[in-house]
Amino acid sequence: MSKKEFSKKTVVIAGVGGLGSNVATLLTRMNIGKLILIDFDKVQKANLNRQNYYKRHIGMKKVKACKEVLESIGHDTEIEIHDKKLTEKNMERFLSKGDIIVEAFDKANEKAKLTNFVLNNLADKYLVGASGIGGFLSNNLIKTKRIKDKYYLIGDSKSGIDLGMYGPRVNIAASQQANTVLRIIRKELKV
Amino acid sequence: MKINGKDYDFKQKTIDEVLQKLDIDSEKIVFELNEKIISKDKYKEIILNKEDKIEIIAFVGGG
Repeated sequence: MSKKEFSKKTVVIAGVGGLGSNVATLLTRMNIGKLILIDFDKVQKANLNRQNYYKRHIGMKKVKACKEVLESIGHDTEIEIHDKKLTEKNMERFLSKGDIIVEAFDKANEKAKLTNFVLNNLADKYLVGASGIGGFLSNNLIKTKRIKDKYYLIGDSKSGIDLGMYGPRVNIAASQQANTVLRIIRKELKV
Repeated sequence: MKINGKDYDFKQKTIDEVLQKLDIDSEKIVFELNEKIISKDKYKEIILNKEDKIEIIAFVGGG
């Protein structure tokens, strides 16, 4: 596997919570060229059951904490951070900077907003989203679906936040998102 | 019309009205009409036809 293939690519990660912080870690370990992380939230104690943060990060902005974790891996991935809430007004500016966009939001309406925006306005970009990753349901319900040519959606599409959010299933989805990003870069587009 | 592969016989209804009938929150979906993504501001304008093929992606929270 050539490191070069990945090191030329930029991935935008919208949200660095349970999905995004883990996707970012996996992609950094694979020497992706550049990550652009966008989130407005702070690390809370309750996040530590699934998000790739540590006790020392509680109270810190997630993008800052995430950058610190990623840089401590010691690879060459460039990390750009934005402590911002993505809205329809700034989505174009932030999301168009990446070759691939990872939707890693928490709230269903925010997932819908970003997905609609990308499919309508940034149709040349690849989008890798997630929905239905809650609870302790079977591992095997979490699937990667290719919804459109350039839009992949990962999850079981049903199990939401009401079932609780726990590390193992969130990480199954995050890993599928990360591997989907790498497969897209390798031009392996089938699921 | 076909919605996510199932047949429905809604008549002269807008996207918004169909979503209400199906009890789907318009803020949490992507609506695809005959393979074209419809932006949310058109949900109240577009009237759906018998021959339409519709796919609705409904998101659930958690991340």
